[in-house]
Amino acid sequence: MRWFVWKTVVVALVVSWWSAAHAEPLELEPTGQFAASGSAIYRSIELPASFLVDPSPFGRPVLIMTGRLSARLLDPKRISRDAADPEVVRVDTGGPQEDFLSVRVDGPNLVVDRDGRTMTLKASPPLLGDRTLDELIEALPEYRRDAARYTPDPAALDKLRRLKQPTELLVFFGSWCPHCGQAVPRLVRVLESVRGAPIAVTFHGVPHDGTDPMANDLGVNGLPTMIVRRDSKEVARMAGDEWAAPEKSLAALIASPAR
Amino acid sequence: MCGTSKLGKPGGLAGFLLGAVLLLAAYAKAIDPYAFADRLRDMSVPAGAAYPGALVVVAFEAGLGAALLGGSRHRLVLLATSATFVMFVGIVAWQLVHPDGTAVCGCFGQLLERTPRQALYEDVGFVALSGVAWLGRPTRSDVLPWRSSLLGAAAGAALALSAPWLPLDNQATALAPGTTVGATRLDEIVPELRAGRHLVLLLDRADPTTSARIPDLNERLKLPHGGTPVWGLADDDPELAAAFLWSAAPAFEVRSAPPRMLRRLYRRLPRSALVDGGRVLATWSGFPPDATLDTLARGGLP
Repeated sequence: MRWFVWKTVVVALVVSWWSAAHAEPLELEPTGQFAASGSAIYRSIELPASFLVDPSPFGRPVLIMTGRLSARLLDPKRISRDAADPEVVRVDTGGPQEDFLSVRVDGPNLVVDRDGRTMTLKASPPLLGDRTLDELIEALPEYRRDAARYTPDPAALDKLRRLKQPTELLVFFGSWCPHCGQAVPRLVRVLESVRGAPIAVTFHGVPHDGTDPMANDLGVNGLPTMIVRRDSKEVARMAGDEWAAPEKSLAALIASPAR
Repeated sequence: MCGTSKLGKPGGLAGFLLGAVLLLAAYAKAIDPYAFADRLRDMSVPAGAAYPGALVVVAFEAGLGAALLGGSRHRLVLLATSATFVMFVGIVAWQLVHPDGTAVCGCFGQLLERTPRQALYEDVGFVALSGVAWLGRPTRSDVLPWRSSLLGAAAGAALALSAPWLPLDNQATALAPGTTVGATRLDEIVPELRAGRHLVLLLDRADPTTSARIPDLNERLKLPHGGTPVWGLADDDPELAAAFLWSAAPAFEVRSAPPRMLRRLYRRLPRSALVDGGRVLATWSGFPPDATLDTLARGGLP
């Protein structure tokens, strides 16, 4: 009987060591949806969500797992960049599970404590006002990744590249808006693909309560909405399902032969 | 008395039709009294008075409808009927001034959604019909139908009080087997629903029981690699969204939707639906049973 118990314990230890040592690396990408003072935040590509905060006020990166909520300090050697996509960070979650921190949910925020030091991870405030394309991507890095996943229609891109007349695009969006999170990265991909064409774009962030004087003045009643201007005059507007393939809609709106 | 015999028939028919309309209207409100109370709140009725007010309206309409359907054209019954439909016209006119897309108030709640303009035309028609109901009205022998009115009102109130526990979700909401995702407007939030098979979970992110159930759902549906894609939908509240993410840790995407849009799809949360090829195949009050979840995890059709 004693022999049986010992055998069971040894097998259990070997299995848990093996599974910890061979755990799948966690892939994360930068996110602008959450913020912690002075830190870069990475969010797992797969769900349920995990977060990496690096650097952290605790001297080492912090890995936060949701659900059975936990936060622990990581050896920086466990973090590597993906060779093919430097935006993606890989965390080796195997090995000894130690250096846990105290963690609690405080309303919408996550508070991590240790030895009197505190780190608060909170949802970022909405992005408001005018932003260039580069500023948008810097503030919302997930837009860049989602843009890379979109394949625009080559014929529509060709039409946009051949555009002659200077065209301004004013895009109303909400960084908090799930529709915009799907649609705007597609436009980002399109704009990156037609760099050099005479298209100037401004992204205008709208608050969650919709109280934006510019949006109200221009009669914007849904997000995202793109206003196409020429010589400072509105010539077209894109909204709703037209965002499913923005390059096609845009080409149809502004790149006809006469234009 | 001149003309009574000639006009009595159309008058009686109009009264009968209006009775049927009022009973149908009472039924539509009674099967989801909380949704009707929400609409009353939207119309500036104080929060504490909205639900009792909803019950009173249901009882009133059912009582009036029962009286008319019973053949009564008593002066007070017809006055109340005309006043009711004039009030409906007023409410719909108010909605035209404060537009919110689709009117689900007026008469028929979720049973028949109309734009405020359509509802206005319809209610003006009912006001005209209530005028016809006065024609050829018997003036002497008609007595106030207390018994049928009270019976109708009591039945309406009883239905409204018990409805939340009755299996009427598919009748009371816009999410029912056979409907397209376009009709539910779910595809505006999750365009992926237009093709393939998906499980949709309508969630209350503030409900601790729902949060506690999520890890079990993740496991049963073998997420994120299970055989059926799963989408959560919840009211658009950034604070609740963040708190839910930390504590519930769904292994499926939960997208936020405008509360008014989601409210058409449930009576109580959580509620679930299986969508295949852009059409709703099945719905469940709460989450699907474990055996169904297991089948979906394997990519099968329950």
